[in-house]
Amino acid sequence: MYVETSSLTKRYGGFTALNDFSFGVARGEVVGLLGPNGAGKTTLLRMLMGYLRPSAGRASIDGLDCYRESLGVHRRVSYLPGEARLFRHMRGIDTVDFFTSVRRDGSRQRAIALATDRFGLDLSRGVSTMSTGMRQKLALAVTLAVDTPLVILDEPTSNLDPTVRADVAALVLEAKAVGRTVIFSSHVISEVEQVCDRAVILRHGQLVHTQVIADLRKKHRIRAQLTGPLPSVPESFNGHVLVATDSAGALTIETPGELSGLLGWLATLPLAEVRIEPLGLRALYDQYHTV
Amino acid sequence: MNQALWKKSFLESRWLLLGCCVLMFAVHWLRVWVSSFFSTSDLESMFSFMPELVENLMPVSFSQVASSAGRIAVAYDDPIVLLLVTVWAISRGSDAVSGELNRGTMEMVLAQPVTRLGVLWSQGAVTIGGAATLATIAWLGTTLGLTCVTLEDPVSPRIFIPAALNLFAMTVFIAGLTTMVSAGTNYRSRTIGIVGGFYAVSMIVKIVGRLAPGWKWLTYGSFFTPFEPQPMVSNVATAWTLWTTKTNGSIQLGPLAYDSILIGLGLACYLAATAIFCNRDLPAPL
Repeated sequence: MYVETSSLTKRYGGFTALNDFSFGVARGEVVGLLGPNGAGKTTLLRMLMGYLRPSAGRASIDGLDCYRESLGVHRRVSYLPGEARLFRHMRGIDTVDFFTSVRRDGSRQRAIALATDRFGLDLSRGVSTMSTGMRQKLALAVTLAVDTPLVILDEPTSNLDPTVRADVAALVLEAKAVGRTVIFSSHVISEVEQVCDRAVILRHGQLVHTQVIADLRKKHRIRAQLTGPLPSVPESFNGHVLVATDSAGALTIETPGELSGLLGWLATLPLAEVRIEPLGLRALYDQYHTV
Repeated sequence: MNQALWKKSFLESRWLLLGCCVLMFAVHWLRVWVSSFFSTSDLESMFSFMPELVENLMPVSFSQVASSAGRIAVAYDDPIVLLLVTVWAISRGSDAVSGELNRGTMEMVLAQPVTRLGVLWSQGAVTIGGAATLATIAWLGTTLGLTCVTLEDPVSPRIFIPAALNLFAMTVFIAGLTTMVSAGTNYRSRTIGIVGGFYAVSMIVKIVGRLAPGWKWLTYGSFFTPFEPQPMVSNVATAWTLWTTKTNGSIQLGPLAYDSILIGLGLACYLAATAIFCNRDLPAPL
């Protein structure tokens, strides 16, 4: 695993921000972190960056301890914080110059191209006169212009308009295409579903579910109204489908695998108003985070 | 250390440094110019009417203040000069960690392949470099002033070098102290408040120690005690000594010892700041 945490825990007095968190990210994988505010996403990312000393457990990137060997870790990582604040006394171009000269692998040309061509920024403007969204774009440009094996983005699309959100998703996919590993947190489930290989769902500082997105695409939910008694589920489907009915005769069938094998059996059932829908990450997320 | 960090630290502080340098030069040049209007005898007769209490507050005797060198040396602990070096040291020291955390920019800086040590010492180097520049400008102001006026008893600009060095040492100490407090706090205003309070207490302690006969020991608890630029100018013979032996055999610390104490304490504060900053959790941008 390129990124690995083992029982990683962060406590602040009596409050546990991250609890016994163990997971791994393979080289070239794109992983999305999902969870509401306070779920522990940012704490996890900041511990990967070595900003916080673990209360217990360990985190490593490319075999380097994230806290003790943070310099080596930072050479391998390009990180965009959740609230990317830039130097207000600088102009856009000065910001690009600083972040591309502070590290050897920074590409000034690429940062300028991203900022101006992709995000439409005027780099002659002072950072202090830019809107929140513009500053976010500038921070994204200087972060993504660096050629590191790992990219960590903490809510990269917050403050951005839908067009630029799509651009960010495209940039993540471009990073994946050239073999870079990406970890990003987001509140936008569709974004994670669109670009990630795997989604990790957190709740109260704990990892509650890991979902391979390709597997999720095979999952379907069938909703229908029963018009007669429901025959017993064939033995061959046992353990593969989840069947539930309510007193009003509404039937819900969830299948984690291929739908084709199920269709023949469905045709024999006394059903009306049949709807088949992909299960989706939203439904999975709601299982853990219903209000 | 990373060149980009140096450049950033310098660019952040350049206008403040420039402003302080202009004022510092002006104060010292004007002090020489104004001093040329008075004669030693005029001032001695004026001081003869002053109560002894005032002389106790002065770091040197009235006769030394009345001399040409003494009149000019007063500029090195003039309130405006103290204000300038204090503003420089506290503003730069407080910005080092708590300022960056307060603005939320530390997160982006430390995401780069730079060490916390590098971030802190690039700031520290610019602050100490600025302190050296201010002290040099102060001395240049005096020197240029001396070339423009005619004094009744001419003095060499060289005798003011120990006073400028003492000013530099004091700036280093205040900057180190502020950086140490800054390294452990998240808010710049809190850093300034803590250091400002310490500054005021130190000043009061020194004044009380000087005025109250039985409370002289209090002066050892003030960082203003080793800041004595005026005696360093007035006592030319001992200006470059670590210590001197009095006629009764007791040892008195010399100007170099005072400077060493201030610079040593300042650097110790910088080391403590490094230890604190390198081992603390960084709060998320506030």
